[in-house]
Amino acid sequence: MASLHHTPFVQAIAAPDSSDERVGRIALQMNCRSDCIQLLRAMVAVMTARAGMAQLQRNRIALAVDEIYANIAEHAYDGRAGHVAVESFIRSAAAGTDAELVFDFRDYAACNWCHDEQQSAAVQQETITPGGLGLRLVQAVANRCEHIPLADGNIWRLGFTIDTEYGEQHACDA
Amino acid sequence: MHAMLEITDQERAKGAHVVTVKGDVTIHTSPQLRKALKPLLTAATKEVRVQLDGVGFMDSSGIATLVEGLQWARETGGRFVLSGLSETVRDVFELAKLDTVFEIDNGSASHD
Repeated sequence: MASLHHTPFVQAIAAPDSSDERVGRIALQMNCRSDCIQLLRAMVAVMTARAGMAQLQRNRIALAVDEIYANIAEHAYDGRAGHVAVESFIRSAAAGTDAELVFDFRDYAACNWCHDEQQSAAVQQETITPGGLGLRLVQAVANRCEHIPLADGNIWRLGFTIDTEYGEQHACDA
Repeated sequence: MHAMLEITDQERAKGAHVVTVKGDVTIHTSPQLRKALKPLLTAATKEVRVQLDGVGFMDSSGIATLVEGLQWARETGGRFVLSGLSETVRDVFELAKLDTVFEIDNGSASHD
């Protein structure tokens, strides 16, 4: 993963991947409401189980998913209800790449927070200001976080490397 | 249905409060926690102990709320102590590199 100091952690890419082999896919359509967090939590529980991830990693992925969702709700939709589509799948290992658990968030809002320098700033130990803490947590947990700008919104993609073949096998069985 | 926190505040001694929190602290519930803590963060308070035994999940909004308590402690010389952190919640503090900044009681808080 590229250093934050050289490359923004949230990277803009031109277009979504279209050639992925996607396994164990789950998709949700929802509005930004507090009870939707429970839906997301359930989605994370199912997908991380399919990926064969340990409990600590499951919790960390739940945290990262929560943070991206919260950023969309709070910053993109400014606390108002807004349409969010979430898709999760396992990308099978290919030559030279590990299997990966992916979460795609599709919103229909203007991008007004993704490349804010403050969002990427480290927590200041001296002044202890929490600005940008959510994205910092995502950075600490996810193997990649990408931003795909669209004409009518955005896709935010989180990727978590699956270390073993266990997950792939279980996803195929699911 | 909105998930809610269960929050109780007991003044164990003059100016020493124990705030017990149960539930998940997220962007939707952290305002509840902020509302409960804010009246305690005054010059009249000497110590605020936040018991998190009942918290299974906390995101950055929860940490940001607790940072306000930390700021109060630094400004007034009061104590702001966190106790009863689950492995999951402690991990979030470690990821945020704030586990050494907060005063964290490693044992479960006394319920006496």
